[in-house]
Amino acid sequence: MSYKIGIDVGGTFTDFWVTSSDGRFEVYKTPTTPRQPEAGVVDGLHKIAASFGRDAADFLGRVSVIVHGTTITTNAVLTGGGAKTAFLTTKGFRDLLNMRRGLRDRQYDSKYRPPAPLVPRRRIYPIEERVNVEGEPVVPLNEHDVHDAIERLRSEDVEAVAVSYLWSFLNPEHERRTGLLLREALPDVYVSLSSEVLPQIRAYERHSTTVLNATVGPPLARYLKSLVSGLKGVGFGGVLLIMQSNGGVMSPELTSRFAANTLLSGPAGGAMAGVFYGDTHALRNVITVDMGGTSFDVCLIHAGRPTTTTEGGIGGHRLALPILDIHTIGAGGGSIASIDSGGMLRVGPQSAGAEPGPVCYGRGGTEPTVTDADLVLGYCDPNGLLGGELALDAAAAEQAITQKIAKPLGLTPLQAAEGIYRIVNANMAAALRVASVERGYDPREFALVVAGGAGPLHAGMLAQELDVPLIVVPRQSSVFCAVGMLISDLQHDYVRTWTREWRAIVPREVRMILSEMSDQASATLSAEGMSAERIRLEASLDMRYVGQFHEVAVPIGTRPEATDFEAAAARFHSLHETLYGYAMPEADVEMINVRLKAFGTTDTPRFPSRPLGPEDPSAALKGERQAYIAGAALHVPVYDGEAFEPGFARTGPAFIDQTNTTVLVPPGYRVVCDAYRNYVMHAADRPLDELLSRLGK
Amino acid sequence: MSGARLDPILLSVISNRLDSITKEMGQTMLRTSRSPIFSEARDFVTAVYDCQLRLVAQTAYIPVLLAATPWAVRSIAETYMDDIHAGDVFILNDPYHGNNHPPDFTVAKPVYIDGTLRFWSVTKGHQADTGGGGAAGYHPEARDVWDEGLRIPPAKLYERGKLNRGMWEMIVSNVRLRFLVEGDLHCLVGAASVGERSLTALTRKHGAATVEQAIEELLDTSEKRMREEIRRIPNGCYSAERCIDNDGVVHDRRVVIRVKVDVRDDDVVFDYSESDGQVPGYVNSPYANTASATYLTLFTVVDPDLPHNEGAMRPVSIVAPLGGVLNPLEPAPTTACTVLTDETITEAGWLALSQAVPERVQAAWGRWCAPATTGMNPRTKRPFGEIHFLSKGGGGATAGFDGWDHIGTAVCLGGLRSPDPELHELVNPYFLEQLEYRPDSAGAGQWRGGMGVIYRWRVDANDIACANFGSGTLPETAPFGLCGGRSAPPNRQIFLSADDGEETATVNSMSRLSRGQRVEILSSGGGGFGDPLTRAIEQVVADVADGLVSLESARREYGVVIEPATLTVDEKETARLREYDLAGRVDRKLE
Repeated sequence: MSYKIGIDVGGTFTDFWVTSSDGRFEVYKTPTTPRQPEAGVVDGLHKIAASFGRDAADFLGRVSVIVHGTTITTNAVLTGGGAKTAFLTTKGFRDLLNMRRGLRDRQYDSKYRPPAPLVPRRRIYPIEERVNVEGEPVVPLNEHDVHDAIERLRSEDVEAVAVSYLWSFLNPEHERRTGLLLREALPDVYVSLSSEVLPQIRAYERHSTTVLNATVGPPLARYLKSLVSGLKGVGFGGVLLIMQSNGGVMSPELTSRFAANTLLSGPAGGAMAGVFYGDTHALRNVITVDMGGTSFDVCLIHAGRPTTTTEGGIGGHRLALPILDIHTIGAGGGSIASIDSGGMLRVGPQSAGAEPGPVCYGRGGTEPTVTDADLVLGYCDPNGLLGGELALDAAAAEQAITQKIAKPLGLTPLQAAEGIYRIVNANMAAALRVASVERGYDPREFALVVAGGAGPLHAGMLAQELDVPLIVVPRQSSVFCAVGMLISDLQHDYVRTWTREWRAIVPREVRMILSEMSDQASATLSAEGMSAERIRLEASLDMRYVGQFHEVAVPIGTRPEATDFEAAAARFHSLHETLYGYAMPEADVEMINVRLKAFGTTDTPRFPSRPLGPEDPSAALKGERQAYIAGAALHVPVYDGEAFEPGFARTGPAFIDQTNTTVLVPPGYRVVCDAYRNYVMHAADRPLDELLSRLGK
Repeated sequence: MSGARLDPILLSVISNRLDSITKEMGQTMLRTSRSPIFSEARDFVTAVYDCQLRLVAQTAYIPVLLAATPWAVRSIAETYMDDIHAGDVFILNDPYHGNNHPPDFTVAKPVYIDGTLRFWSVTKGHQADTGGGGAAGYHPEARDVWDEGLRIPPAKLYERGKLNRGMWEMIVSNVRLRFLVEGDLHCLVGAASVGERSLTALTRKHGAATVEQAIEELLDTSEKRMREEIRRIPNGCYSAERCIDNDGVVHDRRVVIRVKVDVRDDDVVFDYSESDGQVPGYVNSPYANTASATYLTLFTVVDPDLPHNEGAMRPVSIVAPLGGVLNPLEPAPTTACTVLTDETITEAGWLALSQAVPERVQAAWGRWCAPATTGMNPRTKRPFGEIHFLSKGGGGATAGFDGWDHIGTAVCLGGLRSPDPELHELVNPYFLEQLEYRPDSAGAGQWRGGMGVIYRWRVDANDIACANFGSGTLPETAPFGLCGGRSAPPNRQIFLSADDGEETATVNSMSRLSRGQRVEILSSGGGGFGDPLTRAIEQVVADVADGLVSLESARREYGVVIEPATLTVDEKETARLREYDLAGRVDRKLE
């Protein structure tokens, strides 16, 4: 027997998902230990070993793979806990990093503060050197400047240094030389070079990404070092992989060098889990929605692949690495409802968080939240969450909603609570539109995969709002991210800027670049233990009409050396048409970047399915609740999730109570428990088989 | 309106959706436009009008476009009256038919739902070129609207879904950068169609009557919110004046904008009657632009989350007599009004309102002073057009907050993204020599202004048309400080010849650039707020350590004496300077 474990360190809980070679899986949660997250991880592993009836060393000796997701880097940026960092850049251009292209997103708010600079100006050292638009070194590197900088870095005890010069992606010689001098003189300082991190046009985006990498490198490297030794200490001898923001995983060694790749990895596991649960019903087009306490994450998966973007950011700073295109808004169970000066009801983005939390938690919260509304409407198990461990005070919730919302608006408390429910759903629907419609996809062609504590209560209504006909609610929705981690492949993204007008493209040159990149990718993956037949490459070209400032990524297949350039041009025009509603086939086209994604395929856990039993769910019926749904007070049957077996089906309205959440089946929808014990909800007037076969195409 | 009020929840849902539709349209524009002015500088607006031609929702990426569409849409609707059909797309750029200025093309698509005209989906953006004698639409020496370029009266670009080929060709044949303008026309029409599609879906979902009622209540609610905000400004009549350096034709005469802001309970009047009459040069401001600048002024002093629709604008009256510089008669030239005149209107308005609510007003921002240039790039063998946004200056400080650095002129309020220096060198025949903060460019204050920049480039091509346009190059037009805060140093634009000869450019003039020549711009930071002698000493030390404030300024402006080698403060001398100086300026409240 061997095991694989996905471990997701969240803000409150560390989630474990353990699968064994015989197809069993188990879920565990331990409290997160923020100061020393590795301690919580090791502690959890001890408990899991015990529950498998083995001692830790014996159990961990049988664990072949651990995939780990961490928010160390995310927290370092958001709470200012990054390394003391310096930045070396081209003389004359000292402030491109801190100018942030001169944007202020709240234009009318004169009392709005810019984000704190990643590096204060006094630690940004101008270095005399310059490469021009052709890649020619028109001003040689002044090594005196570098040496002076080294002296100051030494005296200031800097932990990390980033180097990013203008046009270094065309000619990295000056940057490499600078890196060499730095690494020689300061062996303990973390060095981040833009030509290694992101050799791509656009100076601010490249600077910011390189500096972010430097800032989060030392804390992540320290953490991974102690995690590795902690795991070794308890007898783990398998492969450790770290979750990345692009939906892939990487070895701890590479992750430490390219730490910025983990900055937005938090929700990435969830998106990958969407791929997995979609696959169980042969659904290749799904949208994952994860509604937790404070935020709502949406990711669209098309043809089995989550969409990616290079337009990310964190804490007001740009991160231009490829990441999963996860759209996040401030909507969750803790989102606060309020009335603005014009008398309109608003929900979020402010959140009561976990502390003090919703009013009904009785921890001192006074502002009505979404969870309070859910409770007043009768949607939640009145016995509380976590199997009764967390009691809920419905009277206090109703009182808050009455005072702060219902009275000022002249509504009954139930109407006000339903208003909160509808507004937060409308906000989430808008986020879903951004992730789908604004990117050229029709949400009606997708199934929703739902995660997060509050997700299953809201997903049905959300789906209705957008005419989404099918919803999958996994049982493991509370450890959703940990599930996704275990099914992620090793993944590395490469980019090279190669700006040419399309008609001047020399295919041989582009193929040469692609083959260099493929060699690099294959070498990296085989160093991570991947055999050749498990390596898969996907190349794309960033193309645009001459003069445009946004590129379209045009896939050119999995065998880069066989690229068909005419087909790529045709594909560009049609993609532009799909995304933006028009194409200009006669206009000149140019190419900006060559990209390569390299995957090392890991083994996906497989579960035995169970035979479907009869539809009649009455064996799981545990009672009924009075609930207020769509303006009507109804007596709604309540089922026990633990007893809701494969094949059971029921038309809404209905509730299914689970330990950590409740599934709301709205009127007009029907729920079925599938062969893997997950819930599938669909529009009741459209047969499930028909929907599955239509959406599965 | 009759009957019961709409369910407040449904009202919120529909209002938010209308707002997000204008953002969807904006996304389409951002991602598909071709000229850097659109996609990088985001110089465009998307809007939804109802069938009564009321502005229901808009996203003005550049605030100077806040009221750039209402009169244009009205002009289109009035011109065509009985000749408006599903599938029509209208276009307009003429400032004497309701447009704000010629480079901003207005595109309007009537939205028919089940045979009835319900909405107008409207987009508008600054074109890379509009023909005429200047560069990128800016012609400092223009003496009338014909000098400035192409004039498009209300016209049909599509008729019942069919392209009006003649109109399209007429437009793109009259501009220099056809390949850019053609792409951006597609983009404007495409975004209007995106709006049409979403508005149709919204109406089908909730029903036309419900949506109509929601709009009615949304506008009333917005009006109510604005009235409450105006009530927070003390009643009174507040006057101020600011001027533009010159109008491009008469270089030694300032153009004066005078405003009288009359606040009475929940109404406010911005009266510009005492401003100069219309002038020969291109700073004349059509009424739509004057209104935009006025709303910009007010929207920055009230709740920043107020919706920018017709309801919020109801309590505001604007008096600008016909024939004045703020409401000119045909054929006065107008192109520079969205920048030079708008900045000056806003400054005058802020200065006036600072007498009533100083803590809510900002000190002046760095004004625009940089050329627009066009020509052929020998490296790419393509024509190029560039407005030199890399010169952006600093924002003004306000009570409790320093100004933002390199954020640009007040007319964009930080919505104008600086170009990427590398893409800039890729497209234009320019080699950048320097782009970084200009030390001591910010006005001193308890809260200081944001930083302006030093921006210098070498020209690598011949025969480039260079329209120098700008303002704020004089002591009296430099960004003012408030409540004891200091003004920032003026803008400066310098031509450096290959042999290092130096010549200060005359703002609002045409030049030609040639190979080897260099152009340097020193842009103003923002004005300061509050007495600089009260700025926290550690903030002054930090600014000195960062090289943003010189040792001399630290001493002279802030009364902080710093030892250069160690950056430690001479506390005794500092205390002496600060006490002594503060005693001398106790009764100085406003500058």
